[in-house]
Amino acid sequence: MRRVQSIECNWQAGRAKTIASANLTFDKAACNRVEPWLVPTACTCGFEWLLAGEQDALDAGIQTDPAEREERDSSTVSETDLGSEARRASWLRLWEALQPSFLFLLSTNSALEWYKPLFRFQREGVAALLSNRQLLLADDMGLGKTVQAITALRLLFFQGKIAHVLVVAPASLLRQWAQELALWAPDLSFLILNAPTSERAQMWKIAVNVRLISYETLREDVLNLRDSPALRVRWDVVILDEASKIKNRETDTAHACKRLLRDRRWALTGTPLENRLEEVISILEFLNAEPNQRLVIPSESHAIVSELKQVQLRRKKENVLPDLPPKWINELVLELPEEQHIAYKRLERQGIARLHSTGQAISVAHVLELIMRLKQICNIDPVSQRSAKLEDIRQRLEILSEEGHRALLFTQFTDSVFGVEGAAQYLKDFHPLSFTGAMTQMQRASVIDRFLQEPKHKVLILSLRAGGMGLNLQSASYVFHWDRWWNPAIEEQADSRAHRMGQAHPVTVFRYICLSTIEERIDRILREKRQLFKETVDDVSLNLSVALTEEELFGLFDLTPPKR
Amino acid sequence: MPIPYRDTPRPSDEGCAAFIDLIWIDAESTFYGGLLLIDSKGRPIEFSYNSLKAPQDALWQMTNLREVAAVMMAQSLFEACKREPDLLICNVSLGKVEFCREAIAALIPFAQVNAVEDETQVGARIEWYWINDPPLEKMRAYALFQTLQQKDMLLEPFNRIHLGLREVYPEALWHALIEDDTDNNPQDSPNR
Repeated sequence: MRRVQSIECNWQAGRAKTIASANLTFDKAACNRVEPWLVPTACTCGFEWLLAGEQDALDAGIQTDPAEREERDSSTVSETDLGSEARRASWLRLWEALQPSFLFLLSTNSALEWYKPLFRFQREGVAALLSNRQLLLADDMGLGKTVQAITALRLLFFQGKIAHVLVVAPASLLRQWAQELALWAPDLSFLILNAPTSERAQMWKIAVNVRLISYETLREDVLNLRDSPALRVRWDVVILDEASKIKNRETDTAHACKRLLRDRRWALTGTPLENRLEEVISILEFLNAEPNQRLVIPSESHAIVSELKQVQLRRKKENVLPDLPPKWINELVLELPEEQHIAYKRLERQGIARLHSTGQAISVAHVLELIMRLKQICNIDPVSQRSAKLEDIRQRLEILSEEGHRALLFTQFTDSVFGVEGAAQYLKDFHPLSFTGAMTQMQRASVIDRFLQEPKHKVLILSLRAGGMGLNLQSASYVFHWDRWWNPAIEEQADSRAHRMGQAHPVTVFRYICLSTIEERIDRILREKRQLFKETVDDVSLNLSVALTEEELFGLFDLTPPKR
Repeated sequence: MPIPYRDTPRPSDEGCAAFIDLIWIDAESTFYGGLLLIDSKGRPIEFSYNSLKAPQDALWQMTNLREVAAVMMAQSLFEACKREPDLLICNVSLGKVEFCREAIAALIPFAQVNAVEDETQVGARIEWYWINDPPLEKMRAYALFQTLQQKDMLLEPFNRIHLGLREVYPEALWHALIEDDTDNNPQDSPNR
């Protein structure tokens, strides 16, 4: 007889484990805590991290070094439960695996809504920022370095990986950063640290996601504030915009930036650095060295270049041509420097007083006249010669001309102060050529020929009346609008002097709005009304009287139109 | 006196959805299951996981193997889950709709989603079937499902479950997984 064998059918089930977020019920006593995301509080492992703890520590002015953090947190769990470094790394990997991927988050239908879709090269730039602890993003000007940085920040915040970010930028760019943050990361809170010194110590304690500070203010706070708040925090990300500001490693500004405790270090610059190796060293120190550490400098230039290439991501316009649209418009918001601001305010006061004194005889023409005067001041202050727009244009011309690019500058005015001749004088270092309606046909042709044939002329300055139509200026790939037309048809005509058949490069257009001025108010009204001039305009005169009602025109100066 | 404020909805108020997936690795005769809870913005809330080694002898019919595993796995994950979701979503790895209705029998709105190749458009079309009664419009689950659908988050969480399982079971023979078998069906295994 054969022996009976029995076969048991045994399932071998494991024990289900759960990784859960911390308790989501609100602790009223801890009302300043951030909402806990998926924090790896494994029931089986028993150790906790609380991102909220970072905020408490910041408020108390306690330095939140990761080693200290772990030591502090470990006191809440048993020794047998405390994970090893490998275990902690394993939990972090699991935590990352459970987050939505950043590519998914960047798609238009994801949990995050984006102002606009990113170009492919920009998504690659974001990926590089996310996956590199230190990165020098050195794309050509106008390719969206700020947007890429802000996108990366937003993704890191969304995934709960960072809590404290410091952006250091030139003072003139802080407003631009604020505007871009509002557009691209509306769920992030930010604060510009620009108060007087006595108030700034308190401002540092305000709980926000992103702090914006100028190089000069940071230098002051690091050197002059007792127990500087900037140095007490370990920043998850420190971003240096226009990083060439620290090119001289011996300056206080460079020292201040490098003393910051920082995990991720990103530097943004539009200035090509390959020809400026002496500037590279200081930036490499910020990226690679720890606070108060000096890098050992290789003496051979090829060694420096080699180190640079390890941390640099640089795309030139021609590299990303397939991704770029033929024309790319940048709208920049600038703050008037103090002298220009004072001149503007004085003129505005005087102009409004004059309007009041006109009484019932006041008409739309009076208002339009004042608007034009104020526009001129937004271009430049004739007394101090300060111009927020021209200062920005000059900085950009320095960079793009070094790259071999050339630009067109359009303005409504032709005079020697606020118009073509004034701009030519201001930008004389770039050997500008002028093109106005006052020229004869022969003179105009000569100017165009010279611009096309002589590379030393980096910019052609045109009055829109004369230069807005019919010219072929494809050798320029950058267009600046010194003053706005608020008429898309007119501005497109100007842009198309460069953006036309035969243009080998994408055309980058810069349009300016001065903060807290008539330009900003008009722009806001037109956006709200979504007024577009559909018809072809053959008269380049400003036609705000059609775009805005009488009430709106007079309302720009808090006036009411007279009763007819 | 408390300061009045406008009570805006918090993500936690918009409910959470649970995604359950089952993976079979034929080379080791093991099922791995994961249950991922996400909020309305796709952020992970909870992740439960378990493994189930199937008996290797011939008494088990292949058709029954997966069904029994699905029930055992689902129940173990449901019990381990700390928070009750508003919505449960599975894919075909758990079984057919009729089977899920009879055997899994979740008592919350329960749907199965699937990606279907569509010749008329680029990319796959997402189809879903309500395993039990679809949620009423006034229910939180209804709004949550609409949100997940609009945000293309009906399939994406399954990728995360896969990644999560690879992390918690690093010793598993993931390389032996037949990636192109969307059913992940042991019946098709050459070894059976």
